[in-house]
Amino acid sequence: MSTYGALLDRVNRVSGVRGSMVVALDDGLVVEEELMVGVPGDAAAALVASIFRRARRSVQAAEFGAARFVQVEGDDGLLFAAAPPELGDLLLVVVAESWVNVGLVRLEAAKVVEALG
Amino acid sequence: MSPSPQQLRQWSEEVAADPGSPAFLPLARYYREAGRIDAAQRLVVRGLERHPNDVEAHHLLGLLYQDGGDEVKAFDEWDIALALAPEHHGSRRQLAFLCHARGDLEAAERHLEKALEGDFEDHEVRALLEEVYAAKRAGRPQRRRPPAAGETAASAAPSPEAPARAAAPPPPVAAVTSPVETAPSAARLPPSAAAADSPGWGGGSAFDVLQGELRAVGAERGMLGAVMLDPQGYVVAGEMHAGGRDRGPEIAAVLSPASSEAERAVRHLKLGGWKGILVETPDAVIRLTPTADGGMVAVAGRRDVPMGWVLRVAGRARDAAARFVAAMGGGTP
Repeated sequence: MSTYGALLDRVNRVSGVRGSMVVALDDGLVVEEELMVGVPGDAAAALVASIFRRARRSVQAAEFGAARFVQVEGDDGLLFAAAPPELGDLLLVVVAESWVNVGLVRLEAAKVVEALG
Repeated sequence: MSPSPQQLRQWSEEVAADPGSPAFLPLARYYREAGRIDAAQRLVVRGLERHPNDVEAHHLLGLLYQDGGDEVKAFDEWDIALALAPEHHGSRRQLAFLCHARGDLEAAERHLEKALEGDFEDHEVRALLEEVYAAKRAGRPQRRRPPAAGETAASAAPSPEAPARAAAPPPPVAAVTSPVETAPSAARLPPSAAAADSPGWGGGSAFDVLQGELRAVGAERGMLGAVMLDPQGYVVAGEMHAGGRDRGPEIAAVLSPASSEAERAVRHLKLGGWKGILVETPDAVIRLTPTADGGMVAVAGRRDVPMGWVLRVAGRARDAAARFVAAMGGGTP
């Protein structure tokens, strides 16, 4: 298992997480993924990267600083995307059930980011 | 049953040592029963900062806001409780009574029917639902009178959960039902809203009310502003300040297409309908929620205030926008 894979595995241990990915922010391509069967990784990566880029442009236009974290919520699940400076042009993307403990996912994601940095 | 002095002391010590201790909830309930509404409110707000998903705490905070006459905040808290636990009977019935008191029969009917599904033996809910059916059959508008000066909202609408100090029996339904719409507590509305006619709230045009509510959201602790955007990306109402000026139009222009992107993303991943987006920067937290007419509400808060607070304030802006859309005939709250 690659370095990324081992770290994603750590995020995936949180109850309710359906998978996680490292995604290139600029083109939305998957760098590494650890997803449950049935989660369309490529599509999720492209869509989340696109939403993240738009959110980043928006908050920069409003002079709120650079977007570091984006969470998209659906009735039945959540998408997280984290892009701290340590990851350069990479995004950590997590797909989770709606009942997931968001705080725990964020904590694990922060640990992963720290390890990657 | 009242807690023993020993139990009370234990709860107090636990909360004093750790405001996030689960003991904040029974202690706050006790304070409410004792009529110490402010102290109870402070306890629950602090507890929710540590436990933002505690359904019972949101429900209790709603009751406390209602005790204090703040129906808007009470509505938000019960709405949050139901978002976290759709089967929560207490919050469902409180929302039903509140919607009925506001004259929103459609929403009241919806909540009452669900509340009755949860507890078929709830006679108060059943009686009010029959009253709503009758009013709709008769095709007449129906609105309970708003609380008079000095009277709490809790006593104007039936609420078996009101504390002992506010436990005066509610007036008979016939006595509080009036086809005449009267302005709700003017203190909660901006002056412009309280002055003019309103199709939805009985005070101020729908726009004035929305503008006033979004400004009130923007004036909350640590908030940077709130704007409602229409489906084309124009600002409908509100403002969002950064760098000393209103950034609402910029945000609207860039964010408008995010709604369809988010919808596509959650649909593709089979995550249901999209409910919102949260964006964090080192300086700010921005919350986006869709409106029933295809637009969005954007609320921003400073990064140094708790996330749970920003989300709860954002919930108020979302509800205000939903009421505006409903008043304009574009959807239901």
